[in-house]
This record gives sequence, structure tokens and C-alpha cells, in this order.
Amino acid sequence: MNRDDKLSEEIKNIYEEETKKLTLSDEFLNNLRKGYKKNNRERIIDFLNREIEIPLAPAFVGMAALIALSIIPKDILKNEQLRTIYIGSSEVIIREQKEVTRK
Amino acid sequence: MTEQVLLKKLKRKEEDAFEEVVNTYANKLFKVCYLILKDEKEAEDVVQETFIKVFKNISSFRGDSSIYTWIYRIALNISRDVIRKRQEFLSFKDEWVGEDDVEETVEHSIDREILRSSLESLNHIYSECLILYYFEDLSIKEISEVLEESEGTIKSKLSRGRKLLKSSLEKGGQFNE
Repeated sequence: MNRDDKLSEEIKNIYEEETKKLTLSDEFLNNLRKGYKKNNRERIIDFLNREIEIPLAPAFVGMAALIALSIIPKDILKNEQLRTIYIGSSEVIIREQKEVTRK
Repeated sequence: MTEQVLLKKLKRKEEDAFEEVVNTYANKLFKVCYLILKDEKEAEDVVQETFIKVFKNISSFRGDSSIYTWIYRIALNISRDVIRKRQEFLSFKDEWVGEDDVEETVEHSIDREILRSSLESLNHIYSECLILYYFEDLSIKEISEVLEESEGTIKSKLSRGRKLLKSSLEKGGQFNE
């Protein structure tokens, strides 16, 4: 389709002439902009619906640590209780059963 | 801001994205709508309604076409409604009219005033194509996306519109459609 012949040029020139002075007023443009200004309710909804990005590796490590802390008893690393009984020249070492707190 | 970023921001309803859309398209749309409707007030109303629809429906825009094509489509549809209300709407018979064949006849003697009045009286089904093609510099493909018609139909409308203008020029500004 021809765009550079004389008729095309004239059509384009006429369209440009007719719209040369046409421009929307600042007031009109401001009213358009007001059309999408958010009210407080929308801002709260947006805040609640906002997308957040969580880095997967640190999140996974954190989650694992949290699970470990909640599952593993705190006293698991405490020293075993040993009792030594001296009978004459003999020494009897009694290792008491190790118990940890049940979670 | 690239189109993808702009679309993402629009969908998130970020104000700076809407601001950019208004700044980029409001005046362009106003001019196109004025050329179609020949009425400043109505053109303003169409622009306003277009942006209301853009803001309201952006979340359902799937990105099948570019943002500007989508915005133009909305504006053109609203303009058509306005024209329909004026009861000027005529259905377009999709027929291929071939390449221009009166090119040389009017090439050397174009009377601008006659052409101007012919453009004003040209049916909007042709003038909207001519406006998008010559004034907005859109391609046939882009116009077909805006008007949701096949490229063949657009070519046909452009060709027919030009032919009508040329024959009007030959007859001193009278159409014989």
C-alpha cells in the first residue's frame, strides 16, 4: 500500500494540519490521572496482597534450623552422669542411663 | 520502561505506570478520535472513557497484542459506538477492489480543499483506516489488530478509501459510493 505518493502526502498533511493545535488541557490530564489514584482501602488491600520474594536457600536453612530446634532435646549434649564406686582397690564405674527431655 | 515492565507494573496497579500511559497516549488518542469524530468534546469523552476502561480492565489484558494496540482498540470501539449513536454507521461489505487504478489521473492535480472536504465526508469505516495508516503510521498488521479485522480487509478498506477520495477529487468533491 502506497504511503509516499502525492495523495498519501496530502492526506497526511491535512490530518496533521487539522490536529496541530489540538491538545488536552492540563486540567483534563490531571483528571485522568486522578482516575487511578488509589484510596486508603485500596492501599491497604495492595499492602496485604503485595508480592514478596523470599530467597529459597536461606529460607530453607532457617526452616531446617527451626525444625531441628523444635525436635532435638536441649539436653542431648549434656555430659553423661557417671558414678564411681571405690571398693577396696577396685573402682566400679556406673554409667547411668541417659535420659533426655521428651519433646 | 519496556513494554513488558510497563505491563507488569500496570497489572500491579502502580501509579507511575498509569502516569506513563496517560502521558504517552492521551494526546495521541485525542487527535485520532478527533479525526474520526470531528468533534473535540466527543473526542475528549472518548479519551476519558478509554482510560477508565484501561484502568479497570488491565488485569484481564492477557498481552496477546501490544499495549498501544489494545488501547487504540478500546478507543476505536468507543468512537464507533459514538458514531453508531449518531446513526451514521454503515456496514462494510468486504470486497477486494484491487490496486489503485486512478493513481495517475489525480496525481498531478490535487486540490487540497477538495481533498479536505472529501476526507471529512468519507465514511468512517474507511477514514479510521486512513487515519491509522497515514496519521498514526501504523502498519497493516497493527491496524488489523486494532480493528480486529483481517489484513486483507484492512488493505481493501484502505484501497477503497483512496479510490473514493480520488474519484471525489476528479469530480470536484463528490462521492458516488
